[in-house]
Amino acid sequence: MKKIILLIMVILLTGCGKGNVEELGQNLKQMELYGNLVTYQAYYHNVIEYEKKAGSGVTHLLEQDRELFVEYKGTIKLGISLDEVTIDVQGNEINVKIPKAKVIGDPNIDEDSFKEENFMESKDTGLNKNPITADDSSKALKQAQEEMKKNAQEDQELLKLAQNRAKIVLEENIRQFSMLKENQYVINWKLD
Amino acid sequence: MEENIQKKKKPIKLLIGIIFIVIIAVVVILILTSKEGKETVNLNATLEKIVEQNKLETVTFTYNVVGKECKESGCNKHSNNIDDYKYVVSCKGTVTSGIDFKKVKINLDEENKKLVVEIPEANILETNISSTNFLNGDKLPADEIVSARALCKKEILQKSAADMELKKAAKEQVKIILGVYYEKWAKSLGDGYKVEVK
Repeated sequence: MKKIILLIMVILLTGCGKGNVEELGQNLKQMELYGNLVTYQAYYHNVIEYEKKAGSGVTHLLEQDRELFVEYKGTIKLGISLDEVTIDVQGNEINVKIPKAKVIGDPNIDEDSFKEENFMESKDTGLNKNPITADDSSKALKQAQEEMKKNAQEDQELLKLAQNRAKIVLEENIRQFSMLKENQYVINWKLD
Repeated sequence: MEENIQKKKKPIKLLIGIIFIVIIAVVVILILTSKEGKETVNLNATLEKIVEQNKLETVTFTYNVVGKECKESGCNKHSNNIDDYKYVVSCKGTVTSGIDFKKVKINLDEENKKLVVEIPEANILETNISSTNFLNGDKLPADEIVSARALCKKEILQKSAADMELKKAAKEQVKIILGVYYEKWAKSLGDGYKVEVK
């Protein structure tokens, strides 16, 4: 009898009010934090100004510099590297560090907008013609992609937005993996 | 004699034991069936405060276009023959897009613990020109720069206003900004409230 009473008392004293806080760290380790997390797709409406210089040598004598303007549209993906996210659990406190957002992959230029009928070329008045060729068109497209990528990498407002969305996604993941009620833990965010 | 006393004590001990177990069982049941106190947040008052924050939310996009000034009025602007134009200019600028907060609808879904925010379509509010660059610019008189800037402003405004992808992107950005903004209000509504921006 005494043993039964003792057992009940032990269960009462050790089992109640403990929740799963102790398992929080273990639960959060199940989050798959690798690869890139795309959080935002930025839209660009841009103009590429491509310049084709007159060639050198006898065959290019009397050629003129040429210019090409192309208006195009495109998108570029932004997000964070999940490998750089750190999650450190201390009791019921979760310290999460999120890296800066970055451009993920190559820009995607709308081919319908980047086509020859949209090309505006400067007048070729040289005695020796310096035409804009298919090769120039490819170079212009490459230049457009590089410019788009550079613009996105320098757009702090957009990068912040992508980072903020990453925070929302991670918060939701923590909520699901923690197996706890939201008032049972505290998240301390550190955004790079 | 002593045996009799021992026999009398046994039922008493058993009775005390049973009473003790019953008490513990009642305590266990009470603990297991207990619930946390219901939050007494005044939801209507909080919602009113949220709606009071009716500033205009805006986002700015880089928006560059090619502007063409016709030699003759009503020319076909799809033509890519430079001879059809007085000048062709690359316009670098920005558009500011935003939503009208007066049209934002906020509803509280108490059953699903959600603060549902419905935002209207984004509109183009302002355009700015940062630079202009002419095609065959060296052959143009300098005084065209003023008219070119006016043309650029008009072209950017027209093209951006008709650009559905831009509006979609603007709305998407506003959704993220407002999601973060309303999150703090959702937290003040009580444990577990989430924001859904539509």
